Amino acid sequence: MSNIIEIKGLTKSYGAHVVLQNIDLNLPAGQIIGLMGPNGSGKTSLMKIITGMINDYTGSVRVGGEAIGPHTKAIMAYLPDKSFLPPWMKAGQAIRYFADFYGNFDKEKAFRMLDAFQLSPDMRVKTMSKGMQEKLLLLLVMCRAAKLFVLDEPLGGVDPSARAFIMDTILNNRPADSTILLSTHMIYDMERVFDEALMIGRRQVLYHAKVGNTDLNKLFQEVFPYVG
Amino acid sequence: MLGKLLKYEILHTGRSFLWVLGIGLIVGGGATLLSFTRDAQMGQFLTTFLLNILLCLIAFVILILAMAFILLATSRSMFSEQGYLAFSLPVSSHQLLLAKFSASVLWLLLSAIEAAGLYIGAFFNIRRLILNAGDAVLSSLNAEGSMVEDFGSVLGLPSFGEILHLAIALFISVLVFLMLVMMVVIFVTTVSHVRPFQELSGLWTVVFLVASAIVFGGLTKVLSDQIHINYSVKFLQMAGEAAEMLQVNLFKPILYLIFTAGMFFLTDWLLQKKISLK
Repeated sequence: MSNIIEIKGLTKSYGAHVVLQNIDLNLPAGQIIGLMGPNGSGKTSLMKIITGMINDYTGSVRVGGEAIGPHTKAIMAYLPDKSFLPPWMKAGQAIRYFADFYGNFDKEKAFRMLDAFQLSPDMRVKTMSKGMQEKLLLLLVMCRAAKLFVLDEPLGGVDPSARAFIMDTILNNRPADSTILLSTHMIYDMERVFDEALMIGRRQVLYHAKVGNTDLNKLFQEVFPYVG
Repeated sequence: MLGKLLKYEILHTGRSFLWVLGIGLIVGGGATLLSFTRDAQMGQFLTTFLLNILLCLIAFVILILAMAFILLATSRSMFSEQGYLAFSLPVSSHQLLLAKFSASVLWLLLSAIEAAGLYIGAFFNIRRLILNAGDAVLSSLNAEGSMVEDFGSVLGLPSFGEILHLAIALFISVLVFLMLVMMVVIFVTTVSHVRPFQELSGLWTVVFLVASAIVFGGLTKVLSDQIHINYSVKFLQMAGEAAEMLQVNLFKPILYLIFTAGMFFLTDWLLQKKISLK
């Protein structure tokens, strides 16, 4: 199995605060990988580095065998934990924008999903509720036939039924051979779908293995014992 | 991809810019219409005169607003949450930068053309106003001094050929200067969003803007005092000092182009190596 992500000697710091130190990591293609760790452990920083949102780091990061750049961004779909669309943009305009820039974006499917999500193409982002915006962003990301999906806390701050809806949307729309790197604190909800678990903390990769029958919740508490 | 980036950049920024340009056009049109009044009495004359002075002020404000808007738009679209959209696109950093730079220069150029139009319009409006003023107004103005004669001495215009030569030289100089201004604005916005400046990016933007103005202003002054590539147009109806004022040193635009290219590559390097979106 080839690796979709190859990281060598990655170090990232914010001033004197080192978040990731000399990390070596290979993530195989075609898997659903759960990225876990306590708050501030560097999950979001790692995702931003992989997606090219952060480039002031040392070490080597390659996606699909290439250094981070236009080629890797073309094969990667990123859902950050932020609403990144301009407030004045309409849902239909956002879909056409993605279709213009990403060759692997399915515009017809996006409009179908928009309809299924009960969102109007003429609705502006600024008039949407937080839930509606999250649906639109998810739709824009999942309508791409990407090789790698990087999803930062897609289940954060949503109710259980919305969580199930989001997970269904992700699992039902991903291309069969694609890789998903998904960060979450909802380990109990997610362990059934993960092929691999990746736990980072204390600047290092502390655990990376196939999930199998592992009780991830219990494992997480062992790797990151709570210090009150 | 550059064409698509440019299309969206112009569409996005145009939404706000057209408002700014529209206000200038409405005020300019109003002042021009009023200046056609014949035999204006003192009250009407003064109102129209002041409106045209205001027009010159608005022209200046439009340029300042244009630059402030470009600074904010660049900051918002690249370094706020919307930056996640910009930096996720499968384009290189220099394509992204070139699209922003080109759209900014386009809008600033349109603003500068409108501002120049408003100044020239105000000049002709006041000229027309004086020529069409009523006897009472003219005698009052002449009683105050020799305003009509003074103004009349510059009312004679150079030939079309002379104006065309100077306009081309000035246009090139202004265009290149605006390119430098825009590149400095984009560079300053970028560098103030790089660690360790990003926590107080607003403050650092002002600091770097002032520093850039001092550095580039100083360098331009020192170098252009040493090297002259003069282009001048002799005005038949203006002599002596007035003609000297209309001389253009073409070395300055060349210098501005070099500065602009340097700032472009430096900003591109920052985008490739130093960006850390919050």
